[in-house]
Amino acid sequence: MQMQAHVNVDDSATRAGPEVMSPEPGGGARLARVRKLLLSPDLALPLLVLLLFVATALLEPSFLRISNLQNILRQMSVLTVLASAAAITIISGGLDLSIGAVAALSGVVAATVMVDHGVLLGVLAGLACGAVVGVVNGGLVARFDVSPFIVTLGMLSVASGTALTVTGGLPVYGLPTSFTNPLGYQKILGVPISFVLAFITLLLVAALLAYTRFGKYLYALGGNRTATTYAGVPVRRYITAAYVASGTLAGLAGLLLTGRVAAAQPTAGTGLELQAIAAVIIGGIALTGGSGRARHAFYGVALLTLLSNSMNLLSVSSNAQLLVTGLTVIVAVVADRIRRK
Amino acid sequence: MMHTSRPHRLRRAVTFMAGLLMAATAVSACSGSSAGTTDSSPAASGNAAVELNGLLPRLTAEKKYQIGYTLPQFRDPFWVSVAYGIEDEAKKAGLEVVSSNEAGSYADLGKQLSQVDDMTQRGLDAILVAPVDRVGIAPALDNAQRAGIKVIGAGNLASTGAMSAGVTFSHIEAGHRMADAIGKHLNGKGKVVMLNGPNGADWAILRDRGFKEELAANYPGIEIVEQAWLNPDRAAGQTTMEDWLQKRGDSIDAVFSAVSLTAEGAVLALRNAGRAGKVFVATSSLSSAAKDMIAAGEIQFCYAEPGQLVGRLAVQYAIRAIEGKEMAGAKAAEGDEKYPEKVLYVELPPITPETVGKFDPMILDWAPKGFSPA
Repeated sequence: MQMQAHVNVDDSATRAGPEVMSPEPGGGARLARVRKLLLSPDLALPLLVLLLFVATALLEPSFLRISNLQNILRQMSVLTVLASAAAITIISGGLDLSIGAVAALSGVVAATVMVDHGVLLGVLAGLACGAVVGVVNGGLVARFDVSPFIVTLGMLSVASGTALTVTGGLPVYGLPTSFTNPLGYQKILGVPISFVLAFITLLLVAALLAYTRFGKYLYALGGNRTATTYAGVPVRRYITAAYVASGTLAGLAGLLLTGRVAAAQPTAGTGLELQAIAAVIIGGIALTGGSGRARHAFYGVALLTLLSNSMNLLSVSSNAQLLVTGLTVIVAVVADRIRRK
Repeated sequence: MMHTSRPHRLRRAVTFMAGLLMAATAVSACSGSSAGTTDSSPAASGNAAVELNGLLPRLTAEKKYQIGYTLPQFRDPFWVSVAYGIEDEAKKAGLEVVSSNEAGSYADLGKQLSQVDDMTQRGLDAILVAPVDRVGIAPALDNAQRAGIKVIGAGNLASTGAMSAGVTFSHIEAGHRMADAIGKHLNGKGKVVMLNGPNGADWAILRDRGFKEELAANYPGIEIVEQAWLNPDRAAGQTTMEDWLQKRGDSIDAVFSAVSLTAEGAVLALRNAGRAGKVFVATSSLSSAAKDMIAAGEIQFCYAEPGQLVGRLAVQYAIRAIEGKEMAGAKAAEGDEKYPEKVLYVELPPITPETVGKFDPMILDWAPKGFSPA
């Protein structure tokens, strides 16, 4: 392929003179455009997901059963919300490593409140907990201009330590069934409720990023913070707001997780932040910020969840599963670099 | 205009949420303390024969010896209950616990090494250790031994003669027992799936080995159709079991789950598939949710891991080591290990739907609510 491209370019150069004179783009440019289109996250990823889908269905017929598809959607819901959270901070040029631990902390706080004071107060407490952590994260990053990597890494530890202290290391059980049943197994028109909630959240985040001033400023911030500052945008406020949104969404993810497993485990979120960030990057949102859409995060989530489900169905060993997931992330990042060149 | 109004709204929203959180924390703090006071303390009602399960007579120390301990991590309820056993037994047997430590994670051998070194410097009479790494901890323990300090294993053991004795469970035996329970229930024929512990942890590997050994030896008609190595986590157990149920449906007859958290997740998946109670679930270490599931007949077998008892017996062994008395009940170390030379393997009758009503975890197993080590 590479050789072919070179020959084409040489040919067109000798026949039609300098490239600038030619009204038609050269073969190399056309090829580059094809390559770009093929690597574009809006085509390549849905195709990849589809390919995985068809391949698994051929290898393992039980994959296509309605109950398994419902299963996959249910398994996607927590990661969908967490990936939306990760997308917001990454697009703004930041990073929030605390989302997994915050999800666990919010779950624990929500469960503890819920057991004694009802579902509504519990849910509010869980969301508020996430938001408050977001305020602290955002405030520190924006005000003192410190690396979000370090701040949120510290917060990961703080949140996880708090969750363990509050619970004494024990999971919180005995949640009301009016909370655990809908999130655990109930469905609307055959679609698991937890996924419906997660998908609505994703749509809201997509709209927030694409159509609001908040969204536009986040892209501007991620693209070039200095220029955005000179343009008169109150940069610190918007950075803080990005982390508040991320924290609140992490809180929501914690609620979904708690409802699904009918218990709040203080260690539940371990590693989830990395999965969410991996999903975002696989989906084609640049880690450097300023680009990508919420739907891209969703492609990544779909690919990772589908991959895990099909490897379980095909009896791939746990060690090999880790390997495959890791390779997927690496390939995705390399593809992203090639596309942006 | 927009610029001035938006941040204001934002700030108001933030203030509101902060207020909510404070209210929530206050509420949860109140409920926590009230729950603590209603809990009865097992220490007050316990007597030596019950608390030590008749395995050893309770010795009272001749002098007020000073001891210290280091355990892997207090985020794990099991180690909290071992810590409680140590502290409460020390109180009752007339010893003083002067140093309580956790390594903080299984990955932090360095921290545990320095904790042992510090306790050696302080010249304690005995150190109780549950190493995060049974080989890596050896140099620090050898130093302690050279300083004349007795080293006793509590829950996990070390591969060095410096650890003269230890108290733990046999993980191989746990695997055997779960295999026996499944084999008998299925009359030697059927399909079983395995939810193992984390790959690399020696207890997870030994349980896996014990389970497979026993099936191969006595129940060749039982086939292991799926296996996954998972962190002890409800969601992991649930997701994996859901996928297996999709693939194999009603053909799964039994589940081996190395610890109860993954078993709880598996039971949730079985419930959603309408199979809970029909599939035989065997696991180990009793959590409060697992206890309820056993009572409901959704988990049929649980190998007991009484943390509190292990802590108490380790203190009793420490007294015997210091005073040069005989270690009753000790055997050689299991597996291919040479050390410690004297190990007390604790085994309680399994917890099943028939026996769960009679088993009081507060006496031998769990730490009382509100106890926090150190």
